[in-house]
Amino acid sequence: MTELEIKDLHAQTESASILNGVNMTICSGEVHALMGPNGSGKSTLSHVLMGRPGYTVTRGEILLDGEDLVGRETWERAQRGLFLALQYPVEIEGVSASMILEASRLSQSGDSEERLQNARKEAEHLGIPVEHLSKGVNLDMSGGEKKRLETFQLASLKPSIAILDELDSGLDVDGLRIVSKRVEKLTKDEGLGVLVITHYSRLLEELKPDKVHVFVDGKIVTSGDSALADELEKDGYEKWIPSTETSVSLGGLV
Amino acid sequence: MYAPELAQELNGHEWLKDLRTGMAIGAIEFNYPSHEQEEWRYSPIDDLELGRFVPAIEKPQAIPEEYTSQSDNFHSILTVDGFLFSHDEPSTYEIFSAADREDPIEFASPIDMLGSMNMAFSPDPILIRVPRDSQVEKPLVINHLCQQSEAASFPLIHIDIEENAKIEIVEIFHHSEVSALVVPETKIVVGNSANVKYQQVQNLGPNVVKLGSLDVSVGQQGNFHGAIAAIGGSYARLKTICSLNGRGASAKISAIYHGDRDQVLDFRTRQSHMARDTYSELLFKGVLDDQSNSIYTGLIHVDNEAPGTNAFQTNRTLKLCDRAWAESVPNLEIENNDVKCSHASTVSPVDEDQRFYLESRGIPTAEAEKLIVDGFLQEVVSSLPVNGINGWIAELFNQKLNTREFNGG
Repeated sequence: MTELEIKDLHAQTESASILNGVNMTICSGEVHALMGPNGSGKSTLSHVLMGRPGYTVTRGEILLDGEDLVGRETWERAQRGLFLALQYPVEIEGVSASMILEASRLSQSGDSEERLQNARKEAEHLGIPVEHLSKGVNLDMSGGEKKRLETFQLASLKPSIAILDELDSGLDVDGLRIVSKRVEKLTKDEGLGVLVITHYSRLLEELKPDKVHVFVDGKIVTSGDSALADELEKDGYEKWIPSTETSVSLGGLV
Repeated sequence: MYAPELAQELNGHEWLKDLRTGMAIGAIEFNYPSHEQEEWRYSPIDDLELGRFVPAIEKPQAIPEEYTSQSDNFHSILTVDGFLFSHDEPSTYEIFSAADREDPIEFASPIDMLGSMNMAFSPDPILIRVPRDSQVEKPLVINHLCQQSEAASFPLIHIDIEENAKIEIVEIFHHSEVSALVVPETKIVVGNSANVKYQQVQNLGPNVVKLGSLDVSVGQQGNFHGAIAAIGGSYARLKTICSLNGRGASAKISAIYHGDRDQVLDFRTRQSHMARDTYSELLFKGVLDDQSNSIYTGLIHVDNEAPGTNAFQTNRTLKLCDRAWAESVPNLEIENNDVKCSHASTVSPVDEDQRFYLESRGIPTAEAEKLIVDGFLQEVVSSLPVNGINGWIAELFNQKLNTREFNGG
């Protein structure tokens, strides 16, 4: 049983405050959805949780099973069981997905032949051509292929908590179904806890969330069950966004 | 730079002694290298004090045992301080030192001071002839060793691959702890329809200055596939000229290099298209750490008589440290309109997004960078021309990168 507890998390870049007190707890097997308008700081939250350079946590804690990850290197967070599937997976020439799995300390169980077999099976399951595992990761791949490869790495590295930043973007209907089925199976079989960042309820229809959070201006403004996602799909975020006037005057105060 | 009388002390028949004297005197007539000349621009040539080295004129008597062993897997030649120390005598090609010949041999006139000095002070101008239609089955490995401290050595090798012949050549400049200057000149003539694969490995010691030249000409329908792997030396320079002289001649030249500490790795290239329907492709990729420098200047020249030319040139440098510095200057000189040419050059630090991506998969920072560097060089490593030696080259680069981690970056 793993628990990721985000407590009063504040963070800023050199020029702006971007997280303004985030509170959330994700446990093994749970699916949480984070939804919000463009620019509300959803991706930033995922980067701050993963320890991307360029952000400073000014207040709060990121507790993974009670241990604060703030100040830890990205790879240390990953080794402790946190995973981030990026919205825009990065292309790296000469570094393949297979090499990444071999280099990662998270996938050292079994001998190399066994790991290779497992990787092949996983790739086949996700509809990834086997040659995609041995060429430069994400290079010359379509948006959907990249997202499948992110899911492949997620399934192979077996983290305890995964943040999926717009895993649905770029995927076609079939791809979305395959990928979300795989994530769902991980939550059921392996007890994976998931934070899904998305704009659309399409993904959430496949991956039924236990909780939905609305994220505006760097913090959660309301939370609810999956019905909240349906409501957002219908009415949008308008009622959660402060009026322009207010935000301008707030901006002036800050 | 060095007294012509010194050249007289080298072995050889009268004709060669006369030639050497002429070359030593002739060297003075060329411009002394200076950073003010275009081809020495950006280089630290003015600070090298080349005069402190003394030409090696005595053949070394003993060499480390590791260099004396022969192998069944390749043919070998060993030069020590420019002297031809040992070689095998296969039936598929001919090899001799001009110093052993009574009858004069004609050499092409040198084009600069270093070429002239090389000819003046080379104790054993080595000539290799691969006869027409012959296939040399095993790679020819030419080992160069700098052994004498404070010596200047001048290895000179001319390899003539005649029509429709085929050979793989590996030229290795080995590591040693001495402080020395080496001025090697390698000339390769690829005959019509001949096929040559060439790999140079520069693994010199940290106190060796290398001012090298590689001069390749390719005849009609001939093919040259060459590569350079450079990691050693203090200031190590290689000027590569590749002339495509016959119709349909083609050449592929690549390089990988890794500099650290205060090393300067300097590459000058010229792809000369002198005949129609010729093809050349150049890809140089380097990695720089600490305060090391690299210089790349390259020229594609397409002659008026060379329509149908395809010529490409790419230089990419990855900086592992802010203090590292790279100069990359590609150039085109095109006299014919019916050509397809491109050149590209980039100098960049390790990509932060790539590093973050790998770290987010649980890979520690140093290892992530190593993967990125390996991946960056892979494009060249995977297509090095001489298969038998690729593993060793990859290992040399790995060792250098691992030293970095050991130092804590």
